[in-house]
Amino acid sequence: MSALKLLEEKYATIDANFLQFCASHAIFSVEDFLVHDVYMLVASAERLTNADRLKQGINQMLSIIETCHQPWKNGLVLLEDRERNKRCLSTGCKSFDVLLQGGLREGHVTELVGPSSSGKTQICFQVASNVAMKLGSAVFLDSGNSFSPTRIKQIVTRISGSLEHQVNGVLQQAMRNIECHAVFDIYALLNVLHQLNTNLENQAGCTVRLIVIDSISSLIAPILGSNNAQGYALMVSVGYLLKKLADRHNIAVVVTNHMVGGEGGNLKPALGESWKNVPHVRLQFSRDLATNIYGVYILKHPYMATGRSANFMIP
Amino acid sequence: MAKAWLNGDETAKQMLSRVLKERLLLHLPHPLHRVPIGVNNILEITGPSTSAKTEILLQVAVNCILPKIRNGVQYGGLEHSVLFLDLDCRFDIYRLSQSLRLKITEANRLHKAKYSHMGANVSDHISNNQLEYDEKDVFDECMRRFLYTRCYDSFEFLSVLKVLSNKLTSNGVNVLMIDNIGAFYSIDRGFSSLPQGNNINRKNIGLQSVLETVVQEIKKLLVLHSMIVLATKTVTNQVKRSYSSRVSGGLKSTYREYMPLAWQSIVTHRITVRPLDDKRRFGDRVCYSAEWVLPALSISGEFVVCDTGILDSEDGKC
Repeated sequence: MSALKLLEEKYATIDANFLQFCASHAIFSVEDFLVHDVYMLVASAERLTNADRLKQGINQMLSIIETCHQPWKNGLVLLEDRERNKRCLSTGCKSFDVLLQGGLREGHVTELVGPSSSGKTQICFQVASNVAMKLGSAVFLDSGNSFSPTRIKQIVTRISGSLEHQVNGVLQQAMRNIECHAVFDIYALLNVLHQLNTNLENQAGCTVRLIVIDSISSLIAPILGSNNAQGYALMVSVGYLLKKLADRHNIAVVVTNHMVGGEGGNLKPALGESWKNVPHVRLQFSRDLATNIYGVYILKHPYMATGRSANFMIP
Repeated sequence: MAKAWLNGDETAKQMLSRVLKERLLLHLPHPLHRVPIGVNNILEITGPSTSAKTEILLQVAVNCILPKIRNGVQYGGLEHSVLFLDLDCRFDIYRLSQSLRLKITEANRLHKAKYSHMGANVSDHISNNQLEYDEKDVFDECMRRFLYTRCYDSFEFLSVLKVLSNKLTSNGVNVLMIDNIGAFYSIDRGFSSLPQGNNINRKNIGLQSVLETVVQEIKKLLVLHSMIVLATKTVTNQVKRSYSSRVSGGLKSTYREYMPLAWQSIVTHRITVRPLDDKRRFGDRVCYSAEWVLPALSISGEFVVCDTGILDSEDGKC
């Protein structure tokens, strides 16, 4: 969306007269036009001598607006898109995949929430390794220096299941396919995501299948506060950007949310109530220290019942 | 003159046929069925995140897009188009298709059972292949009646509403669903605090002006086309309890109303839903409670969500 002046070159009916008419109603951009009542504008145009010409301009504006929103699709088209383009990425743990009916879904934003060392980052590594070996590239946005190439190497070696010297080719490919960015504040995050979005829009045949943000809570929690409206606006914007990337380019987005001490010493997610509404899927992680068995519990899912859970081991 | 006045406008028969035709009513799933939603009504479903708000919309949508009757099979639907405006951008078509398939299969099963009950052999009438073919046809027909678009910001939302009128056919009622009317609240509120240039006549673009325009456009749509609007609104629990509510010991959580008055005033019906936090499970499932707020009914119901849809928790097993 843009300033009306910029539309002048492209459309014949949007001429100097029309711009002047709009300016008299304090309309300078498409956004200004959107918050005005079209009927009132037409009525006011009708009082002027060049009414027909102005009305053509208003109609032109309406057809421009039609291109400003996502197209309407019917259910069959949506279902076909989902079946053809939105696949599941394996988490590398069988029982976990069974719980999620195949794994993390492309097009979804999945949140992993749990206390520290409950397996969140390990699952991110496993999904990323799997994707990088077989499907395409993975983007890892690291806010806490948790990315470990050594660990990725271990996982790749284990999955490919062959001897050290044979692994080399696979390993190199996998390592090349993982792109890691260190991000330490929300502006850096927005910057990387916008850049990624532009790259994806411009080049066809892109193969990014996965975006991991580990952890998103350490980037967002610091800017939230009771008297900071901008913080919430930034948080919601990041959410929409992630959902847009996920849907348009068939990418699975995984974000992690750590836990902090809440009332009465109970742990609670660092991103709480206001964040809940952003992701498609929320998974709660836990770990039994004695047996080293990890647990995952569905807090929210678009089509699965909340409350289902599974146990898994991280090799 | 006076005679013309005495003649009246229409006969009782004409009036009845007019009134009965326009009287399309939407029924929410049990236990929310007590108040039917009519044409030009705007229903708001309020609740915290994960309180089955979208699920309620989807069940109503399934009921709308299903046909009344096809090839002798009773589906009991309304055969109307549904427009689903996804502002949360979290919609997954799988849930709708799953629920729809189950409903269609169930209707066909009942139909077959009825035939065999009457003593006739089903295979004499219709081959099984034919039935499967019909089910697929009905499914496709229903899915085509479901129209969907998503908006990533308020301007996209306004764009959709501005040009929606041309898209709607003037015959027949359409149902407009908005999944979370408050989705852009914090972004728009952030906008309002930005400096907007020094032209005093220019409308300040922000929460207030955006929502006023949204309301205005919806009102226009209601005048031009008979429509039903269903909207969800996500509320957060973060209310700092006021002293008075702590004293009165009202355990019932009240959520802060954050939407501007313009929106509140066009809502004609309102229900609130919330998950029951006392871990009382129905089988393995989370139980939700629902309550009519506008009109205020003192009865509240509890329900669970199953694969087939929403079930009144008093109606027995899934």
